[in-house]
Amino acid sequence: MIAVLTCCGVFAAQALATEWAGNGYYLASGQNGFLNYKVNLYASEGKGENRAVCAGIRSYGNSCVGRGYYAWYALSFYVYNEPYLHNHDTEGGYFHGWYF
Amino acid sequence: MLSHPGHLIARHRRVLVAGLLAIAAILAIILLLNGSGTTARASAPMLPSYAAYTALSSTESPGLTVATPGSPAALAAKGPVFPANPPGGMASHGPLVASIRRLPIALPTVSAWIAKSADGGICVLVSRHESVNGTYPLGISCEPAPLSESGATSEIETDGRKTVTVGAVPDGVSSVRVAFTDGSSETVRVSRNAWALESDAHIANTRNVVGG
Repeated sequence: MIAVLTCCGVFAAQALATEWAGNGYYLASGQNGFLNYKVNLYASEGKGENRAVCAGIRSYGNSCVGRGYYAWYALSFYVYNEPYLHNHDTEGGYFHGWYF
Repeated sequence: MLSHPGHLIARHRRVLVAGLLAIAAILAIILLLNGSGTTARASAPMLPSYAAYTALSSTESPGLTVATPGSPAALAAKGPVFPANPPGGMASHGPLVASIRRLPIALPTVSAWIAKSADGGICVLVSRHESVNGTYPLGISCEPAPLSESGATSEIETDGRKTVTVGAVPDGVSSVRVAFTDGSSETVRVSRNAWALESDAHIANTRNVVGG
């Protein structure tokens, strides 16, 4: 019983990432992309399609990485705020963003 | 009983042909190993392994709280919190909690860690000692496998503060030449796989300097 509950709990926790940017989400070099509304989140995740990216939470900051890297910016508690991506590359490109 | 002379000549010929074929085969193998084989070895990059990151084998406590965000343990933490059981990409590509080790850096206001990533790459985790709105944000960067010679870097930005960049490079790299987006550059010393700096400009690229 405990094992089943633990298993389901882990799956429930791991199923909470929401992809808010993807499917051709384009940003020009230096451009920010915001979700445009607030959500409950404690982390922002970003990945460029062969582009450098920053993943951030408005008013808290961001984490930037080079091409091919995954970026996360994590807080110690949930906040009601907005995730965003920043094109950290010298070229425009496509990006993926998640929050959880 | 004596053999027929014709049979003897035929047998000698077969032995001679077999010997020549064996010599030809040995020569072909030697040529392959020393010819195209050398070319293949020279063009294939020697990618580092986790063994090239001594910092990953440190026995020092990482000093990073791992807890569920918002839990009593996370709220009581006096520093950044790495989320327990993270979802999505952080579970499949992010740091393996058990492998997180402190990365010794020269910036007194920043803590950093190195970790193996869940997909075989390398991660760098960074946090300022200064809180932002009551929390200590943790910036995490993971480079997917295979490990590259350039290592991994992570930048964190907070409004009104300088950009902090931390890098992890394999053993043998003595310094890193950093080029910034404003055209300036700087050489940073590496100590125990780590380098770090604060800057006004973002980093455009880095180049490892091996040895002295």
